[in-house]
Amino acid sequence: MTWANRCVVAVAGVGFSAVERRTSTPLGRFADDAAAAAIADAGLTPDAVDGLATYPTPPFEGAVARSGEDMVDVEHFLQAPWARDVGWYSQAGEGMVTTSVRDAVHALAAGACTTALVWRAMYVPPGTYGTHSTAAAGDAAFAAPYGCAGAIPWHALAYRRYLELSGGRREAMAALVVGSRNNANRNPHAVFAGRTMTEQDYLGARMIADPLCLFDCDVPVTAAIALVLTTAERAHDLPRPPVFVAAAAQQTTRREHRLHYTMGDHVAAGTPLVDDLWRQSGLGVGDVGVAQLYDGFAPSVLYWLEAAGFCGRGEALDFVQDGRIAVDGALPVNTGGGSLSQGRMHGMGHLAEAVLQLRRDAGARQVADPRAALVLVGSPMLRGGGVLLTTEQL
Amino acid sequence: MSDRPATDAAWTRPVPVPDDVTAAFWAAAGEGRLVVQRCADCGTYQHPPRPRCTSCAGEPAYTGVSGDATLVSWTAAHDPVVPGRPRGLAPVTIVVVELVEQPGLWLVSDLVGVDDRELAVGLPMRVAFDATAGDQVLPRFVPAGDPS
Repeated sequence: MTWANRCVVAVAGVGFSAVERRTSTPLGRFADDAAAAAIADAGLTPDAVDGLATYPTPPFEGAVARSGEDMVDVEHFLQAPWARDVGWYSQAGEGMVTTSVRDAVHALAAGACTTALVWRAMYVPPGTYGTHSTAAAGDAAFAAPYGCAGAIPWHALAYRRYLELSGGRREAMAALVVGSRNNANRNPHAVFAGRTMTEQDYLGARMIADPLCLFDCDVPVTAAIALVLTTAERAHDLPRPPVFVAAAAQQTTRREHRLHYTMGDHVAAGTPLVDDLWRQSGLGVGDVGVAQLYDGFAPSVLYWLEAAGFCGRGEALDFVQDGRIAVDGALPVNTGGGSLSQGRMHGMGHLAEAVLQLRRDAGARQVADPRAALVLVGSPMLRGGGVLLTTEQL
Repeated sequence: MSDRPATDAAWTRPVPVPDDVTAAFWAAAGEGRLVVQRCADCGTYQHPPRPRCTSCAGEPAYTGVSGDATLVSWTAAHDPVVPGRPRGLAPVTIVVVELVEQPGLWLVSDLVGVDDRELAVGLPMRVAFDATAGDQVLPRFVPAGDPS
């Protein structure tokens, strides 16, 4: 049965702040810029916004999390002078930005608000960050004393096992990572818009936790991206072509390995989520014209490709070769450069790029004629989420 | 085999903090025994410890296990990925092993003195108690053929 809220809500505007690495400018300024741009893009004024949704969690351990400085939560915009009419908000603790989109769809469909601002703001702190405690409590007690703490070793261990079981070689990942950089070179919102990468650059990169090299890890940025969502009915009267939310899902399957969840079966964890998107929308893998697949670490793209059924299990490294996922390929993937080369936006870059592609606003990286964009974020066990966006109101 | 020491004085490993659910695991490790939670009702093992059995919601009880395992995955983690380890030292090989008692019963360890090129999924491993974090003895895993 299709989703009761299928295409009831549309993205009416998208806005970007500047994108930087480290900066002394408070993050709230970036979020303000992105929000203003998204609201203007939708042809609205800020006082039209009466709903707010974000996933605010800072992307690193040891964050101070000062509202408006190194994170931008709902509180930041509630204090804006234009926000007096806000009557609904949601702040997701898990699930990334697709969860915020889903929350906003529910609120708009239920009439809790009429115009929702959905954003994600990301910050790179000064100095070394990601510091870990000298004491390891809870599940970390069974990993951190052995050097295993945080997303990098989790992903490295999962990726090693994937390569061993599929017979793949890490060198083959160059096609995906260099391809993403090529896309970023055509994206003015990408932090690496002006920096190229060759296969030799990739193969010469230093190891972080093998088989993950530096360029398999996304690039931390300070930036914000915002979307304006409203009902499809209202969106038809606004200046931009509406982009409809045809499906929205979360990864809720049981984690087989709670402590080592990222080393369990990512593909198995992602498959029910994507199946839910097909069921909700009534569409299938063959309808997808462009895919934005989370790449906080490059191998997550492989897991999502297999979970979505674009290729068989263990085949994704072969699938990404020969230009198949390039802008003019059979399945364009991460056309804006993804987290690897556009910048680490925890999925909001992927969402915004999907909107631009479906509106035919992607400039030099525009895919020929996409009707549906699949956005899958998280990796897939860790905060997996997804939306399917369409140009037509299904 | 290299001559890297099993106990690396330069590495200040994070120290496990036992709690009501996990204290028995760490107390046994201090005595050189590996114990894992096993459900008294359905017999399923689970790790890390949980307040209830995640298979049937029954009562878990710590049970001695053989300490035999196979290699699931590994990574050589370079600084500064490894907590408590100063920069400039050799990478730490972090491993995941599966205890022979049950498929999917995975533990984390680190491996010292082994060439990563000798590692493969399924390699037999066995438990050793040859390192500490603070005063806490850590159960670790070494290749089963390692004479040490």
